[in-house]
Amino acid sequence: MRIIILTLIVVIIFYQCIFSIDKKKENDKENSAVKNRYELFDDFKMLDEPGFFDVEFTPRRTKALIFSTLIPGSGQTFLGDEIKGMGISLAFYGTALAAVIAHNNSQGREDRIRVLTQDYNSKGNYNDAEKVWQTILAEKTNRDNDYDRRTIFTWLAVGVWVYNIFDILFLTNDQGENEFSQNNRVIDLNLAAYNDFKGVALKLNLP
Amino acid sequence: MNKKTIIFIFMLSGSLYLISCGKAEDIISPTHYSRVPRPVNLSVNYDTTSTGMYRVNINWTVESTNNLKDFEIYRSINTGTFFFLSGGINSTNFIDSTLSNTDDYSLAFFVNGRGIDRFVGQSSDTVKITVTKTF
Repeated sequence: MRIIILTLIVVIIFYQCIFSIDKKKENDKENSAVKNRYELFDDFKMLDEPGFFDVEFTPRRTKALIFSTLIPGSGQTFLGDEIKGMGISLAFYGTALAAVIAHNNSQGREDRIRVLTQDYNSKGNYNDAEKVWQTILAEKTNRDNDYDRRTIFTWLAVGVWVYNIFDILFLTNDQGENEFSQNNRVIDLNLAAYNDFKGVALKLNLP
Repeated sequence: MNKKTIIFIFMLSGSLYLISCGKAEDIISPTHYSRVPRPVNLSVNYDTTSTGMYRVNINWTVESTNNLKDFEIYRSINTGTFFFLSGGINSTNFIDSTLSNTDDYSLAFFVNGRGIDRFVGQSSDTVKITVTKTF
């Protein structure tokens, strides 16, 4: 129940952050029927300087948003920030994989506890039953740890995914379509063909 | 549909999916601790019979008779391994008169309760006694 409430709160806060700016603008428009020239000048300045939460949904950013929604980090790479994109992808898939492994382990331990329970019920004396019972308790401890790990890594993956969306909307600048071919970054990772060599090339551009 | 609404729906559906993941199943409650009453307060004493045997008396008590069918008793001689001595004992005492009064012995005993469902319950504490021959 606590998880549901926390999730809804996070989602609602995020949603409100996006919409509150639009509502504020609409209110400002309604309240500014008559303005002097300084106020108008400020309005022009504000138009030139977009706020932090102003999102301009250009076709490239929209596409990047879709990419990042499906594959975290790919939108950042699409917009030209491949290092950040790579980091987000690694963070997301790392945490998600850890969550999947922990879930898998917990299910395996759950099955083992079921088998041990059947074994426990079939034991005919105290000593054998006690041995099996202690094994069940140890397995339960391990299973609970796996469930805890699953929960932690799942929410970490969710956090990375949410950050990824937030980042693509507000923190990543579009570096243009030609960034891949014209930039001169410190690290380049590309497919390359040179004489007989064809493969993946990692290029370090030293200053 | 508004793009922000799409993001909201994505986040909400993802959160609901995560919440729907399975939770840990409860394990059973242990029954073997109280299934058959445990013999307690073991005491032992001995004397000799007129036929030249030791007569070792072992007494114990139980706190209830729920699911209790009978008792079985195990004995160790001179700190050796415990072996089954007798079973099907329907009282809370037993007389061991199987050792002849020709040597000294260090004896140890423990008792198990056996349930109506044939479950053998927790063993009693071990009680020890040294019997010495009389001249």
